[in-house]
Amino acid sequence: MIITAGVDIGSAGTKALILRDDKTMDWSIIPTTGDSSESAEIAMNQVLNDTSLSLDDIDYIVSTGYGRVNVPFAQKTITEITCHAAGAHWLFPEVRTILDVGGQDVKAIKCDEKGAVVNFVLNDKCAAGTGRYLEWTAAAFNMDVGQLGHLALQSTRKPPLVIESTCTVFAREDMVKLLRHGEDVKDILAGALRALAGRLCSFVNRVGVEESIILTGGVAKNIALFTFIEEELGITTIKAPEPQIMGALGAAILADRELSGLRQER
Amino acid sequence: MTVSAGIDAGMETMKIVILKDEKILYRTIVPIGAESVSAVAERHLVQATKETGISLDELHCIGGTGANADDIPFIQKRLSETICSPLGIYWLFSQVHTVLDAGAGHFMVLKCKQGKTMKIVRGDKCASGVGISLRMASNVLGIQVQDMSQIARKSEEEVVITSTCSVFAESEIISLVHAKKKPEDIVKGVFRGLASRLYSLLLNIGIEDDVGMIGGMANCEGIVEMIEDMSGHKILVPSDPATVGALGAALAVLDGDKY
Repeated sequence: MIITAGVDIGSAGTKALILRDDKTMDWSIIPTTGDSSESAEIAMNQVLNDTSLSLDDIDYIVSTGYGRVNVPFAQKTITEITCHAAGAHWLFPEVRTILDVGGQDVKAIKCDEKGAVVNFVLNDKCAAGTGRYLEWTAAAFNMDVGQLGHLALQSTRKPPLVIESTCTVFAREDMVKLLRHGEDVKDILAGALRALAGRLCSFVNRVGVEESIILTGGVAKNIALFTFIEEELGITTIKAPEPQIMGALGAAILADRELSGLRQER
Repeated sequence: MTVSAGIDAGMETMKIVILKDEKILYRTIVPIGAESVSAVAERHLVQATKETGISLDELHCIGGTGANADDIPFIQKRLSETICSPLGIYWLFSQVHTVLDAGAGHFMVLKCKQGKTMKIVRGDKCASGVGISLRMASNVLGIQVQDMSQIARKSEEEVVITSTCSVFAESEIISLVHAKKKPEDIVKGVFRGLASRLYSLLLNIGIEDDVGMIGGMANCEGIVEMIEDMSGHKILVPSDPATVGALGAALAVLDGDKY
């Protein structure tokens, strides 16, 4: 049996995934601590525990994500763009476009029928198009990020509210202002999520949307965002069973290929 | 006797100035908070009439400016900041031709002549150049905004904040604190970010002496000095820089239908 592992250290979450014979996968997701190597170790130990394996049982480990260079037990590092494409393609071979919305950055990736990256764009400069925008919105209403989507979908306001500012900081001021004007929280949230969806759609359009498209990253757990993005793009998106593990999965798959001597282009 | 009032309802605070016979009779700065803008304005205007002994009827005219001015129904004239800022600064410092205006929620630079705007360069619609980002840094560091300039003076090794976005910069500052960077070095780095964005606006419009700075951020000596160093020009700051817009509004309504 060939056992490989992928570790993805993101700004918000660290993911570790074990892949057996390029078939069975087990994973763990933990919040990233201040220390990348510590986060990697905790996540890895957790999934090793769950699978009753030890580090010595793993044949090859690839690390990815912004903290990828700080994983002492990894044999190789591969960028998260390559890993995301590999992971999404392995689960859904028909995928050609990947929109990954993380806590601190957003990636739109276009890949070919083999899962190799053809083109990508990245935003890690402005919070307005990232998961951080949702965190700020949630904080403005003293809510959990998880609550936003369900509430937003209950909005029936016609015409829908528009949040004028793009900037996360100013958008929050706009939201407070709307609340002051007596608008309902669910309508404001719908406006905020629609605004984010709109920005994400124009972002993914920069690489060119080709069917099928998959939405990944922690933010893909937001049900309203999914709905609004589908409305805006006019196509259905693929729902990943666990949208946060795509990078770690891709890393484990590439580890497997590395072992088999099939070198992937970096 | 001519009495007029100017209300500048900004993103964080409201400024009220009452002018009587071309003299400042009263000025105040109050936080807006979560309350309705209109209620805050009304309460403080009533307070102003009590303190000055002027009745509401005597107020010749009330001019309003600022991001939240549309929420105040009793404003008789809604004025843009490009009218109020140059009027206010001209009244205070007639020799100023280039005005940096940086408040909690906006930043721009104006070229003006005898109280009139000749040219404007607005900052991006991005919080990275405005006072709110200074407040965010102040909250994360646990240092009051008014104490920041003095703390920054102690800095020997300025930190570079790599994020432009205020939201990302906030996380970066938290990491810098965890990395045991000194508060004075971080504050100086925060100042540098704001000062360089303001300075780039000045470069964009072209500096014509004298240069003045108004808006709440002008209270921050550390930033003003940094822009002076970067540009090589002296910057004049009035004693109560945040109220200049309200002063301009009170002056503008005196001029009948001119504005």
